[in-house]
Amino acid sequence: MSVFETGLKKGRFVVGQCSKCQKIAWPPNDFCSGCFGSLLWRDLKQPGTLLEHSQKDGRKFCIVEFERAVKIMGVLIEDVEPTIGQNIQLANCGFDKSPRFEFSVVPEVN
Amino acid sequence: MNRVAVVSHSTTKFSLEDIPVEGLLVSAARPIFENTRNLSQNDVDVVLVSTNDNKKYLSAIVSELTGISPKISHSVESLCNSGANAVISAYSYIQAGLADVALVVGAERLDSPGQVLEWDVSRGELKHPIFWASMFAKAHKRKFGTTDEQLAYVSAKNHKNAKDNPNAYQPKEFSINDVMNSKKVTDDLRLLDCSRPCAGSAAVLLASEREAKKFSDTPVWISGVGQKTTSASFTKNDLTSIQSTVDAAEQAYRMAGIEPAQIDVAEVHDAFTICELMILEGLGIVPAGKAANYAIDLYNTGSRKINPRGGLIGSGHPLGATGIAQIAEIACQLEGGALRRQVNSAGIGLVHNMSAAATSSSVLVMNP
Repeated sequence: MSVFETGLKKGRFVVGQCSKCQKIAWPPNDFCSGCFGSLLWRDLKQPGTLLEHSQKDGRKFCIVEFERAVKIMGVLIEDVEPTIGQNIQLANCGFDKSPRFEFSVVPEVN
Repeated sequence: MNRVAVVSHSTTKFSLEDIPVEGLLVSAARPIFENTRNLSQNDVDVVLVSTNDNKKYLSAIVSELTGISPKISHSVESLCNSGANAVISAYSYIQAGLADVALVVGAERLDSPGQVLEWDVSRGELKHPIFWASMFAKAHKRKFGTTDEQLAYVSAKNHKNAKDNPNAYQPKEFSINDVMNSKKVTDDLRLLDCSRPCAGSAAVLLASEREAKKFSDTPVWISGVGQKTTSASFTKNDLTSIQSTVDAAEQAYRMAGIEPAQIDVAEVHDAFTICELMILEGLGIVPAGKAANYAIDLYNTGSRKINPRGGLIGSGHPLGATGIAQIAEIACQLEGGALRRQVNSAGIGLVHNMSAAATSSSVLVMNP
């Protein structure tokens, strides 16, 4: 099992960052796809940015970008109308046959 | 440079029938031998099979079942784009001088494993194509003001065209209202915005310039080819344009020495209505943001220029057969044999086939 999947099963979203060129390897890989360097695994930095969203059967789903490198699709767990560019938190993640990503809106601080 | 032509083609009736993939494949290959003059099994140097089916060694099986002992024989799998990929592979063998005649057969069963790309972890649990298509649709609406009604015109147009395609899965006309009143699958796409997976098969016979006239008085030449894979992950796409299509089209136009304005007829990969709009913009047939009104004009004027056989939405989408059925249709149009679907004075045709949330595209330019 990959480092990524193992992390998800423990509820952690980990990314591999290249030890040579610092690029984040996404999608998850065993090495950097840019320079073939080795990866150092760490937790994803929060929050991300909402790129787009829609809704199916009353559940909002969206694409969120983290660290300008990791774009993932998941479900918004709050019943709110999000806006593009809004800060979004990866609230929960897991792995059961496929990855599962759940997002929540980061409240704006005045 | 060795020119390569489509000299014969066949498409079977698309359906929901439970037929073994071997049976689907040979049912498309057999009419090639029945309908092509001077063709014997000994003429065929290459047999390629396009499918996402998990069965093994299908090109050798098809060869044996049709009495061919080819020099080159293998399968090609590239999800929904397998068909065009297989034809371009066969084209390359002939163009390189390794072969003179190639039979390319594509087929898919209804239960194809190619409908979902499990590998793409960036989609999380949202593996079904409706999710990425809805992201495209919402982003296009947001950027260009595209409406649900404009999308409905694409579906109504393609279903209307499919009514004259005897091989379409369900040749039935739907009005704009029918599409607008069909089940809302997501906030941004309805049931009739979607193409439907089905069973089906198609085949084309390619020949070198040296051999083409032996088999046909009306060979259709492949004058431009372009392919591009940008990634395998949907989320790496820009959401309002298809870069793989832009790149593939540029290559094909350059090779054929044409501009998009010269295209008379095209089959494009309308997996969803939104895809047709983004593809037409990516191909440069219309500027970005203008495809929706273009589709309305096509519908209102009864033009069959785009997706004359009904595209994927009108005909059904048997993945491994789709690209080959598209090429068969454009060959048929350029031969002047498309009967009620015929586009008048079609001189330059285009085929666009793509895969996996638009991460790869193939474009062919064809002419008589």
